[in-house]
Parts: sequence; structure tokens; C-alpha cells
Amino acid sequence: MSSGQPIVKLENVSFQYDAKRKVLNQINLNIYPGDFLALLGPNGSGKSTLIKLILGLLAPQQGKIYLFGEEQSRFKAWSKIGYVSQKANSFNTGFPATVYEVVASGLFGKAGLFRRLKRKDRETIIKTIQRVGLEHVIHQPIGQLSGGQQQRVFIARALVSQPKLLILDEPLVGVDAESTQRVLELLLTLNGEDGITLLWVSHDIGAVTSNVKQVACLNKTLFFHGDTEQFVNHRKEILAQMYGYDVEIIEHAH
Amino acid sequence: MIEVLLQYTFMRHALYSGLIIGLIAPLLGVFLVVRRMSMIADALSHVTLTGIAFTLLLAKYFLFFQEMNPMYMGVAFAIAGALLIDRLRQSYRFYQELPIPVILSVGIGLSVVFISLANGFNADLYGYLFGSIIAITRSDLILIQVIGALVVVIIILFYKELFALSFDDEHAQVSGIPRRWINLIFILLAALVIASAMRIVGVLLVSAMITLPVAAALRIAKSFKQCLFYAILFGQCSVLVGLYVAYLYDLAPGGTIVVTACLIWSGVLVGQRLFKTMSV
Repeated sequence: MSSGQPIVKLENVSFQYDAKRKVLNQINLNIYPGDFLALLGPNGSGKSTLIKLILGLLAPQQGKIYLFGEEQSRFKAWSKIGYVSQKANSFNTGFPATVYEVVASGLFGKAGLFRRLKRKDRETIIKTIQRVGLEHVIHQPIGQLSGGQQQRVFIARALVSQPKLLILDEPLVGVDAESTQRVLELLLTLNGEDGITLLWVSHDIGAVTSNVKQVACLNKTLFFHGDTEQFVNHRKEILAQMYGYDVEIIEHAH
Repeated sequence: MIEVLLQYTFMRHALYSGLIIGLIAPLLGVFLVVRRMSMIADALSHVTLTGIAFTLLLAKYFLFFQEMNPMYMGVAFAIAGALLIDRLRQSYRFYQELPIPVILSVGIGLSVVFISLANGFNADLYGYLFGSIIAITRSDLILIQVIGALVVVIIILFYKELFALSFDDEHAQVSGIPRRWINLIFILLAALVIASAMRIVGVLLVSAMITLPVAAALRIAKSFKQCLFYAILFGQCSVLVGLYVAYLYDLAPGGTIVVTACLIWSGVLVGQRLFKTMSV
């Protein structure tokens, strides 16, 4: 597998929203530079919770999280991590902001308080918008865009701070065919050419495994973490274990 | 028109303070409305009234408070109310709108108790309920100027962060923006704006100055900056036209300003519809 120091390291991480129900139990997971990892699991398996823990939106009751070798509580370089949330699909479409304004907001945290964006920042914003293929709608209100275009705006917002790790929570849900194709191509170039580490959260096994390098299967605990090839060869056993019963995989044609 | 108005000191005070409020109320209003927090304006204006009623009560027993401008206590109460709403929103994470009607009704309840303990209803209080722009004193104007300058400077300084938090506060937090602090500053600004706007249009009409220009601006703005620009433009027009018409026909200025804002808003809606039918 990959080498070097892990950029995300979870050590015995457990989390629960209330006393009765453990959402995540004893998770150990390393993500290495250059990985393209799919985090798979059924709805309610704790995938989004795991992401929120990595991002510091939630704090684990047990265990430790390290980001880029630093303990999470001391980690400050949040612009190294880009995040495309699932919620992006249900934001306030009446918000009066252009594609440019939304993508620019991805740089605000990196720029810091009391600092305005400079000319170089503006160039980066425009280049990032070109990268997701939306330069023709750059000054349009985001509410007027299609669902797939909006999702590309959110990917651009995550990319504009030039992160080393990009986390995408179900980025293809509610996205049309054209945008799906564009997003997939973009993710492959980001990982292949730019060397950005990708963590792709999905419940759709077929769509993901044809593109990613590694797979992790989660259902409250981690059932598998390894190369995609290994996963595909032992898919039936892994999934049976994860769901607790035999499942038939319905193949998607891709 | 301006020369006629400016002959009188009270009209000068009214015009200056009106224009400042017509700037800061819609400016802050844009952020409040897009964050779906516009109801907060109503709650905080009622809490401001509690502070004013409290001063009137104290003035009955202590000479010191007879000399004090009730606005100061109003501003202090609005700030306390804002902090309380902020605190309660943390404890009711899934019912974030709940603290607003609670604070609103407690505010008005306490006001009524204080008023009855003081000498009951008087003309001053009527002014605070419906606005008394022509009764603006020099000390009111100074307070409004200080608040106005503070609000504009802080919004310019934190524009990036306020925009990011308004659009998507989870993402803003993930990208390293200090969410708690900026939200606290924001709610304190809201308290200042509302407490000072109350002097102009009154407790019952404050939220109109915060929301009506924004409601009109939202219909035509193509970007966030445009939305801010139009909201302020409509705010200024409402104050200028409203004040002038109120002077001409001897109407209640606060109400006339609000009615003007409402006419601008309906004008935008109707104009848009006509434009759409014509271009089809």
C-alpha cells in the first residue's frame, strides 16, 4: 500500500450521540498521502459522523485523531483540508451570491482575519472555477444553476484553498449525468496529477469501486480497509460480514 | 427640499439620524435575513423597550436616572438580550428559533410590569413604541453616530467571515473561521442597530427597517454585494421620502418611513412582474 506518514490517523476512535447507542466503535484508520479511498457503508453506518470527527465538527468520546501528524486539537492548518458536504445538495437556493462569491469564500479561512483577498487570490478563484468547467456562469447567482453545477461550485470552493486532502460526502447524490462525468474525471486528475489525497464517502458501491484505489467498509466498526482489487475479490464475504447477512450485489453498468 | 428641512435643528437631527439608521439597519438586515434570523430584530426591540421602561421606573425613585438618556439602558438591555438568545440557541440546538419568541414575550411582559410600577403610560413611552424621530436630542444623535460608525467599521472588517458564516456556517467553521467569536460579534451588532433604530421608527416598526429594504433587494440582486447595495439604497430612499412626506402632511414620521419602504418593496414586486410579462 501507500508509504510515508499518514495524513489522517484515527486511533481507537469511538463516538456516541447519546448514552444508549454507539455510532462508531473503536475505529482505527490511516489515510496516506496519495490515497484515493472510498469509505463505504449503508445509510446510518456512521460515515458522515466519521467525517465530522475528522473535521473537528464533533469530538470523539474515546480515542485520538491526528491530522498531518499533529494532534487534532493543536491542528491549525485547516486550509490543507477541503470538504464537500452532503448538505451542499440542500442549501438555501435563494441566497443572493454568485458562483465567484461562493468559491471565494473557500479562501476566507486561509486568508485570515482582517486580510483582504489579493490579486493572486482572485486569479486562483477564477482558475478553480475554470477547473470545474463553470467559467461561463461565473457571475450568475448559484440559485439559477442546476444541481450538478451547484455541486461543482462546492467542489471548487473546497479546492480553492489548494488542499492536500479533499473529503467528499456523497458528492454524486442528486447530480445529473454530465456533471457526474465531469466530477469523476476531475477527481481522477486531482488524485493522479495533482497528488491530492481523496476521501470519498458513498453508499453506492458499484459507482465507486471502478474509480478508487482503496476501499474502507464501515458499519459502526471498520470491517475492511485495503486495496480496491482485494475488496472486489472478497466483496461477498466482506459485505456479508458488514451487513450481518448475505447480500447480492446488483451490478451497475459504467 | 433639503434646505427647508435643515432650517430647524430638530429636522437636522431627524435627517442625520434617519440616514444613519437607513444605512445600518438594511446593511445588518441583509445578514440577518439570509441567515433566517430576521425575527431576532423584533425580540431585541422589545427587550430594548424593557430597558427604557426600567429607566423610567428608576427615575421615579432616583434623581440620577431622571437625567440619564433612557436609550443607554435600552442599548444595555438589548445587548443582554442578544447574549441570552445566543446562549439559549446553544442549549436548544434543534429548536434554534424558540428563544426568539420567548425573549420577545418576556421582554414585553417585563416592560408592562415596569411601566405600571412607574407612573403608567406617558407620552415619552408612546414615542418609543412608534418612534419619535423629530424628538431626537443631541445626545441621541451622538449615540446613533457612534453606533453607526462602529457597525459600519466592524462589518467592513469582518465582511469575509460574516459572508462565509451566513452562506454555510458548517463549511466556514471547517475552513478555519472562528465561528463562535464572529457569531457573538454579529449578534452584538444586531443589538446595537436595533436599539438605535428603535428611536427612529419605534419598537413595533424596527423589524420593518431591517427587513423591508432587504426583501426588495433580494428580488433584484444578482450577487451578495448588489444585495447590500440595493438594500442600503432602498433604506436611504425610505428615510428621505418618508421624512419629507411626514413633514409635508404632518404624519407620524416612523410610520411614514415604514410605509414608504413598503411601497418601494411592492413597487419592485409589481415592476418585476410587468417586466416579465413584457419580455415574454
